[in-house]
Amino acid sequence: MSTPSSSVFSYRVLKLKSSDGEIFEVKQTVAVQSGVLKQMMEDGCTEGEIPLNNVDSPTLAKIIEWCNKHHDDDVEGRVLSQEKEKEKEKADMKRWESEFIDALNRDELYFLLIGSNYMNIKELLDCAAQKVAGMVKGKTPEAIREMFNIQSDFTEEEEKAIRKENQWAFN
Amino acid sequence: MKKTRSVEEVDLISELPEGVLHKILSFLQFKEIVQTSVLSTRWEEVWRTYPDFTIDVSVFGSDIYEYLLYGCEGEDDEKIRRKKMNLYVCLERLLRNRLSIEKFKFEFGFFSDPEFESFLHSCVCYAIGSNIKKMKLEFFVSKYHLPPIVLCSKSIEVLKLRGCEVELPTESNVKLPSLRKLHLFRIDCKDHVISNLFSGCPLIEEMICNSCEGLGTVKLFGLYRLNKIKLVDNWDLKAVYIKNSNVTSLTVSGSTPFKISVYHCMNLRKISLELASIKDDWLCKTISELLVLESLKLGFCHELKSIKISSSSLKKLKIKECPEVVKLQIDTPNLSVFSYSGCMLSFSSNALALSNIDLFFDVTRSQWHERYVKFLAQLNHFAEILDLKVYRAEDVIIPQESRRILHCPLSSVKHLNLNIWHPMICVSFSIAKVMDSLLWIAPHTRAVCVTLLAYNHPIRWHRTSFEVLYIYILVLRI
Repeated sequence: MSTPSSSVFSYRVLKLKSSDGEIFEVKQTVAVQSGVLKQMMEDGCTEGEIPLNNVDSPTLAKIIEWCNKHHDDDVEGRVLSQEKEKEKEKADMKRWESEFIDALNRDELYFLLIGSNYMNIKELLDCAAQKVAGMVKGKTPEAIREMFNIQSDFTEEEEKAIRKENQWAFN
Repeated sequence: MKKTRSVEEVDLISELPEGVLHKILSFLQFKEIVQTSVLSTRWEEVWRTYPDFTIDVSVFGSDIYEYLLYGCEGEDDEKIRRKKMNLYVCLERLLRNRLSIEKFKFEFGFFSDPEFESFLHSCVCYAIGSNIKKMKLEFFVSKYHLPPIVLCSKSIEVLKLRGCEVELPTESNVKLPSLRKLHLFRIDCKDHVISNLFSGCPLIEEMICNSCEGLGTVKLFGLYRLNKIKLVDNWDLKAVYIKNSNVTSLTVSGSTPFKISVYHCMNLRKISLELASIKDDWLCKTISELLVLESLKLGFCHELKSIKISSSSLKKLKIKECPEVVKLQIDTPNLSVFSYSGCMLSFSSNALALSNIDLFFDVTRSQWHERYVKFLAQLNHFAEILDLKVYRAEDVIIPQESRRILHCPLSSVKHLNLNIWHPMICVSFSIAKVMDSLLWIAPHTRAVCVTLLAYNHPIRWHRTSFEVLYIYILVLRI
């Protein structure tokens, strides 16, 4: 039971242009996962190439890979599939997501955060942010600085004052 | 953006937009979030603008936590008490100094410290004072006395309360003009509080009341935005009246039978009723008036005797343990999922679009196998996938003498699942006999899956499953 507008959606393709000039074609039904592209489609301004100035081609390729995986071709048909299968599908998807994120190096992860935030793809941003949070978790501020090369620009006194203000969090 | 610099060498993480850094922080515990404020001025700024306060157990440390749980006992008590008061002062200051708090969340099990409650009061009041949008207060054992000021917040959009005592603000009515979602779990309240609560939330879209005490009669008239209502296990529920509403999903399950009336709710798509005092006529009439109803679940409705459902929109029907029902007539051409558990009954249907059937009959009676086979036969042409559930394996083993006089009931079924429940004891049975009988019941099935559910300990279930792919050889048919 597809409405006329959704069937038009599935056939049309968007042309996304990365910051380094490469063109990627994406089905509209896949692209709706991006809040920004969805808004553009609703406003009817997706003709021609859509420049994504904040996303380079390797990152855009990764983002599209994610969106393709999370896009459900046959939503209506799946309503009937049984609970057990749904659970399994969910678990498979979780595994795929963590493998996808774990395979990225620090640079790729960084650009993916920028790109998914820019294109407003909530689930991907959540997944990537959670990965970074996992790297931070359980580490002392010194260890976090070392891991990300964060230079403290506090004077010794300033840092002391901050630690004192929330003493409970630093002991 | 050129990748001339690498994260490995340069601190790019600090250059991420504030929203992304906030998102990263949202996956950390509160204490860890506060710790990031010392990394650099950038991170301090990010922390200062971080809008969520989720005060979790990490904040208290094990010593204060134990003190909150068990109160004073040892020699160090005075020291811990001072430390605790310091912590309260720090947290209050944090909240006081925030310009904007979007989300305030407090989850706690049990507390026996009177100072804790007054600390919490001030936190909640600061949060309310900073144009908060979402508030979640959850107490799993203790009950927290909610400051009435919470019920007069102009900005709050989502309010989730668990384990709280809710009273009306003095000399004032509830005024929650922005509230969209209200979840109440294990709340003590009175009827008049609830009615006042609803009349003070004109924009409410979603309402869930679970295990609340004192909730007797729920009247929902004219809340035009209300979309989803869920009332579950509220001990004192006696009656639910809904009128002139745009609600699309209605779930009510009582602890004792309750009255229900639904008038002019033309957008209802989903209804689930358990323990409702409803009669055959009411059901038939109500369903026929709901033109977009897609899903109907009925459970433990003791007054139903002969169910007649006529709906061209219905896709999903589930009837569970309505003990007096002897007859079921369904005129539902678009039904795709049908699930029934209860006594054997007489059945007629024109559910042409059925694709999934789930059946679970109660204890066997005389002539069980004949009645069972006849019932199944009525479903033969509707579905390709069929789930059967029985208490004992014997229930599906059709005796040879019956097979001689009856036709195979499910000649069109392609996929048969059988769940065997042993509610009392593990009875040994022959899987070969079960398979033999299943293949008689559904001779053309391509797959049979038999699952055993048995428990020898009240909470530990054992699940064993066999799957047999039965390839039907087409050649034989030619």
